[in-house]
Amino acid sequence: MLQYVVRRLLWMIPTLIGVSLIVFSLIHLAPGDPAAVQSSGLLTGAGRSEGSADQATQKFRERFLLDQPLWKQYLHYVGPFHLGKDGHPWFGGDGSDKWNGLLVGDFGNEFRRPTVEVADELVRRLEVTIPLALLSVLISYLVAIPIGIFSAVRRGHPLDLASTVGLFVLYAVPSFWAGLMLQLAFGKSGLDWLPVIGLHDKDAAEMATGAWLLDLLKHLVLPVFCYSYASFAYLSRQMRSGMIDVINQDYIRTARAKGLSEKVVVLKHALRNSMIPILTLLASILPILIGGSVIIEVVFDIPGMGKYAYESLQLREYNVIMATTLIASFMTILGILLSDVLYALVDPRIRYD
Amino acid sequence: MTAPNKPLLELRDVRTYFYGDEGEARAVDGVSYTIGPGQTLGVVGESGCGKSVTALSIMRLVPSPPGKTVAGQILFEGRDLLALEEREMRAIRGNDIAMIFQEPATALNPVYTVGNQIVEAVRLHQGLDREQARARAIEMLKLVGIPSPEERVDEYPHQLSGGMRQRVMIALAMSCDPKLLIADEPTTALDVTVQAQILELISALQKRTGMSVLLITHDLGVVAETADHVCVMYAGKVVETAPVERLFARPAHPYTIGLLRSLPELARPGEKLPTIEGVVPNATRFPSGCRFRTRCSLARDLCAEREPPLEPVGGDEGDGHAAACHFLEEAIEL
Repeated sequence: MLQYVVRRLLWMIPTLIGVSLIVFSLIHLAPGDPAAVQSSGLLTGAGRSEGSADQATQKFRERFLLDQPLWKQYLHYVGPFHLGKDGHPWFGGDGSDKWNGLLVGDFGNEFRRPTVEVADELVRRLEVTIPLALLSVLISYLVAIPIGIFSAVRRGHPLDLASTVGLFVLYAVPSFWAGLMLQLAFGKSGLDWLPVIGLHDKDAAEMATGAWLLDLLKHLVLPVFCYSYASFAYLSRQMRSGMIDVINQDYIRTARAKGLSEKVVVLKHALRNSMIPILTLLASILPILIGGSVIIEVVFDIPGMGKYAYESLQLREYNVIMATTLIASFMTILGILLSDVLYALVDPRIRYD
Repeated sequence: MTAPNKPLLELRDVRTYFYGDEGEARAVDGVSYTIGPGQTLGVVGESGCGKSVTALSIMRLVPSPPGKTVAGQILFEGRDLLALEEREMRAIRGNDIAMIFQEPATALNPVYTVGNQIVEAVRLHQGLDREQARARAIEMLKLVGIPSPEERVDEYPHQLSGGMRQRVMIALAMSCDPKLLIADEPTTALDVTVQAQILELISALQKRTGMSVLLITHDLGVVAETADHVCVMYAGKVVETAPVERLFARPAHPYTIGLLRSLPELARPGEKLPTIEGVVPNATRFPSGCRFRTRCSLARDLCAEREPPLEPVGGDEGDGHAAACHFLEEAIEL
């Protein structure tokens, strides 16, 4: 098993390199480049003269190797050698900055704020997004699984029908709209029960731990709900159909014939067998939550990874786009691996040797 | 074995119907039979004749909806199982009445060890602690002839062969010393050689514990080897019941006669094997009167008008041979 996991982890390397190649090509194929964005005055404000703008753009291009052929830019990005003018002496640099790129763990710097390393900023962003995503996944499962079990065991019960309809309505509601409506309803314009922007109040830094935590929780309620409500329907339907399938199996009849109560039959004998489709979904939900957080993070103004990715796309921050895409791919592969490992834990028939 | 005065299990006019899109399916429609202590009753009939549903009705495990036992009594040691609370019924299931099924491949839960599945039943009914229950599980596995039970107890069902799994099912069923074992086609899914071993095992366990066995099968050969008494079912009804030797020597109902004729063992070499024409009618649309009349060579107007009751056959009525046919005298001539 351990060997299998290690092997799968090693396979990630070529996969991620492949992803980086594709994404790198795609973003460079897209029209516009960061130098143009920079010089258009979007950030620095208009009012520069033509000539100096051209000069600045030229310098900018040189600095980030944007004037080089694409293959060279890519090799520079992947590393490990710095291919610029001040790069590794083997490639004509002056040797002041020999190493660069993914292979030495360097995601590069932001174009807009050249002193900020993308890796550092990513860590700050993930510290926000990952807890939010995990909390949402946890809540999705905690809500969806009991609903699914109930619907399966009491098929046709009024509550089964009601939850089916209710959850499908939720499923159909787009989250950016739901987010805005919730802000209107619970924010200052409505009931004024919950904060609707950001993760902390302005004075959070001076709060005691308890108050700080409470403040954070209050800020989390709406975004977490927006993250998770759509998957309630999805997951609980999966759980329901999986459970119905299992409950008609012979071994469930055997369990009943032993004299076990219905509760034990369902929760011990049926549940574990019907977890497999649900675990498959875990693999797909993890990256979706981190990627799908774009909308929620923008709506609720949460400084997480989704917002970072969104902004970087607008600004053609190549290094950030690359980094966020690679993280999303990494999460996808990790999610699949995680669900494969969980299969084996749930079902002894599945073994990886 | 002669029928004792007080039966262990007595079915009186049990009716279990299914309600589906096609209407009411009378899968079990007025079945009565008895099993004495230590006795083996073989219930035979084609697929879909209601023999398995009758067994599930005894256990009260008919899937509901769509199924429901709508009438009759099932007396077990004098108590009507159909009138019990679900909680009381659970105390009987797996404890006083245990059941084994046709498909050992799917009857055990794939995600728990065989030991775990036996331990669960033992702890539930016998109130043993974990250690004792495990010891009991190993003892049971040994009893049903599983080699190195100390290791097998921690294995999962998929690690065992079909025959071994059926032995595990038997160990599971026997683990609480039931008074009645219901074996629903226990050998159908197994190789012929394994079939004989499983039947021998059930017989041996029966001798040892004195339990009664309700053996459901479509295989008359299995009945001949193991049963004391036989019930032949057709289209949800018992059409003939007799002690096993009597049934094979002097079958009375045209259906039973047809079944026995179609046994390859009894056919003469070189002759085409006789079969019963037609198929079992759909349970939602049984023919009027005698349900076998559509396939019977003796059928005439009376058969369509009136349903034949189960009546004693032959001179002495004490041996329990009875059949449901308007023309028994003619049938015996067949």
